[in-house]
Amino acid sequence: MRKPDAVFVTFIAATPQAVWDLLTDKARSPQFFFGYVMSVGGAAGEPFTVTRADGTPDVAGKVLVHEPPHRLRVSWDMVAMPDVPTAELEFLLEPVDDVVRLTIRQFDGGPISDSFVEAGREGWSLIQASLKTLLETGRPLPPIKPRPPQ
Amino acid sequence: MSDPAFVYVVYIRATPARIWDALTDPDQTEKFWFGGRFKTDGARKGSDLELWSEQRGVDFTGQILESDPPKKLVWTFQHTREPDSLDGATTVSYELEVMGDDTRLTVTHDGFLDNSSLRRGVSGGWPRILSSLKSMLETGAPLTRAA
Repeated sequence: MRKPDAVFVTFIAATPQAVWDLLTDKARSPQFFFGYVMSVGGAAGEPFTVTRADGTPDVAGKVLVHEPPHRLRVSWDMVAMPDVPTAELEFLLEPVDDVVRLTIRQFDGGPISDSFVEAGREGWSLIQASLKTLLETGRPLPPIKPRPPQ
Repeated sequence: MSDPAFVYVVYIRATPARIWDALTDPDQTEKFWFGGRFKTDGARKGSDLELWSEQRGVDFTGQILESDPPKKLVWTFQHTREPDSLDGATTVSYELEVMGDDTRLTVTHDGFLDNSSLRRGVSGGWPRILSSLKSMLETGAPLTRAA
């Protein structure tokens, strides 16, 4: 099994089902995805998309693995950057003691620049922090815009 | 060859001052840091430090290298039971930046040997500790069982 190029781990006081429901809820996604709309198809093979608040498509892909409430894997193409090779993202939700360990694993499609590595870390760190706050407090984190790759 | 630094970024709905206090006050670290009391002499530069708990005794010792409250704290980390730490201390830094109504806390743990078992250990530990810190500051309740 291939090693991920980046891993982001957080622990959330919730059930795997509650984390899964939020992660796949298009209507609530702007609250944890810095205002973007994330749409996750309901089965493997269906579309996966991320759309900016102004309607511009940001990410296009497909659902590769759909195993509620423990594992979601999607392909990830940056719409405006066709030169960036297709990546894959995997979300693992595991019960640990009384909480959930959310692991986001990023598999790059090829070498990417340091600014992309940094942008990925910023973006996923912010998304997982927002998911955690929303699930634990019922309120989103006050909005922060991620820094775009240079 | 040596292993890369472990970097963890967490956004917390709290001020840098509140996060700084939580990270440097043994009464607060006890709640989110596996029951450990982070003991220093006021988190001042040059101060010795240790993480102590009744269950495990001293987990690690070190010294504060740089202290700029509430923005930056750099300290050495020498684990008392990991063989890797016998080769020398690793270094931990906390950096706190205001981001609107949130604070970004970046924890960087560096100075590992090649294929470091210490790095594997802290890579599992920091996400739990910092998740519990975030819960404690945002909800008043740390992740009791997880940290």
